[in-house]
Amino acid sequence: MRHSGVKMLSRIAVALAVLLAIGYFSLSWGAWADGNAQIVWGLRFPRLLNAIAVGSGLSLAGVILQALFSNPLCEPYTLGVSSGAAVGVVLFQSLAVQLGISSVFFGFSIGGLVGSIVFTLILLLFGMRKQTNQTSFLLGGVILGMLGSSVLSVWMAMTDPNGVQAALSWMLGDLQKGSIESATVTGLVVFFVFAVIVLKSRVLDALLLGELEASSLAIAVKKERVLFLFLAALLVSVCVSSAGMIGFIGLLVPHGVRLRVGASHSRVSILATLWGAVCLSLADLVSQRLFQTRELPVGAVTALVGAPVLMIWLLKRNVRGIR
Amino acid sequence: MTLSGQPVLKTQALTGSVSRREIVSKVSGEIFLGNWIGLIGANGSGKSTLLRMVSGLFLDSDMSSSGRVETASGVELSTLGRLDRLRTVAYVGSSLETDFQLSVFEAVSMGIMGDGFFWTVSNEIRKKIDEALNVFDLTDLQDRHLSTLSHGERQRVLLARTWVIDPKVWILDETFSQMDLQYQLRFGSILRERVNRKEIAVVWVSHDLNLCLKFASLVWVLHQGRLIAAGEKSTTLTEAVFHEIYPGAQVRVSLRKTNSHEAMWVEY
Repeated sequence: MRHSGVKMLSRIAVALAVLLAIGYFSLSWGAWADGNAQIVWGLRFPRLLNAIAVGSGLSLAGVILQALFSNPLCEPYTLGVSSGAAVGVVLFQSLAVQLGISSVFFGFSIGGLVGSIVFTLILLLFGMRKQTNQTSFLLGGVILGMLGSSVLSVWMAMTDPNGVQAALSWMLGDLQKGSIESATVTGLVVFFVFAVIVLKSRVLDALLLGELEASSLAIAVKKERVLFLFLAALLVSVCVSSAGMIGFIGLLVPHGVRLRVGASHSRVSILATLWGAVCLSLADLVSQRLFQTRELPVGAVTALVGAPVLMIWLLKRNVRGIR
Repeated sequence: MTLSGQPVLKTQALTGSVSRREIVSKVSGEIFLGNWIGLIGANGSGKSTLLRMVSGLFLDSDMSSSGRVETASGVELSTLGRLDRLRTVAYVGSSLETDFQLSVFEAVSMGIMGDGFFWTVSNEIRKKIDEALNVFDLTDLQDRHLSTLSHGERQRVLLARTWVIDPKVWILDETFSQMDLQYQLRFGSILRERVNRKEIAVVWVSHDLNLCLKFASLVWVLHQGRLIAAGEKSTTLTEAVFHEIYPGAQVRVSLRKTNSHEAMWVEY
């Protein structure tokens, strides 16, 4: 049954990818026919690539974090790294304006990279302490995230409406920010992390049972924890500093995949990466096309769809008594 | 690889302390293949900490430890690779909890984790897993999620996983506590036979004293972190010892010896 689930999910993903391609193509057809190939290759194509790379990255980060903390509610936000990136973005942007320098490098926000690296280092130091266990580690991430959002609130209260607008667009996610280069780099990072995760999938499986159980399988829990944290933070920082904070992909996609194929990471890591790309591309298509007159923030679309879907899954699982 | 006559595991002055208070204090002991050691002691006497130290698990965050755990060839346990360590000594706890949908088969197959990094399982290992499922009566439950099982059933999953790992020393920390009587007796006997054939050694903690004495031939008595008595159960476990570790409890020890068999039980 589990293997048929794997086949089914892969087939649906391929079918959706084809549909998406058609959708993008038809979207671009008008521009193409008018001879505006520039719009297609310069704007829409990088945006699609970005959606694919960021979607798979966020979903894979969710898979890692949920196993790392053996907690099904973890996603990239939980670490606080994404809010660190957002703080970095807004602070550095105003600084860059005053200094007259560019705040973007290769399609990544420099401030976002710096912010996420700083927050990651704090977390890594915290995670490497002997005294830190799974729960205190998770709490550390949550507290860092809160710190980040309060800094953001303070900044937004003190700045002008334009600054608020810019900050909001980072907090709700925007795939148009990225470039072909940033999508390529994000894609490479995702591929690298993905390869490590597939190799380590059994360690992640053991971590689902908690640190004591993993340790009783002779896994070097603290060493692995630092490795996985580093990989997850790497994914989150490239995704957030090229596309802003996009929620729910890292929560929704891994859970949806697990519902069909169980929790084993050799299957989950592959399918969740694939489906993350499909789901974010779909969400981005919806955000562009739902209203003729204006675009929706893609993070709002993922949250509006994700929250009810997740709620329905939760209710259904409880009814059947399976968790 | 095991040198005969050598202990398969030897501890030297194992000490674990939390802010200068010693939870386990200078415990030295030897475990030979063919030993079944019942570890007896009151709550808080340091049993679980000692077992975790013996099996090389990470300890609670604020604990500092000293002393050595050596394998048969005189190597320190912590220097072994992951699978070698696991095949020397495996710690088996009493509960298996997860919020994720992990099936019984997946949990049991975790024992061989590291042998193959992909999702395919070799035929030989598949056979070993099937055997373990069969031995611990889990074949019909293998596709069920762990979270749908009772505590006793999950304890059987833990035992089956350890069967697949096939360690020399089984450290069982209350692993039988929630199981039905027929399973306690059946699995106890299966392990006892392997102990008798000197294939494995068992160190176990059980709060059911009579179950403990039914299978153990040796006992270690732990009191306030110290090993206050160790040896054959019939000579070591006197009523005086019980009075010391369980003060105020009225315990009568009975012993019946025939030529081939020795039965010991306590009444309280």
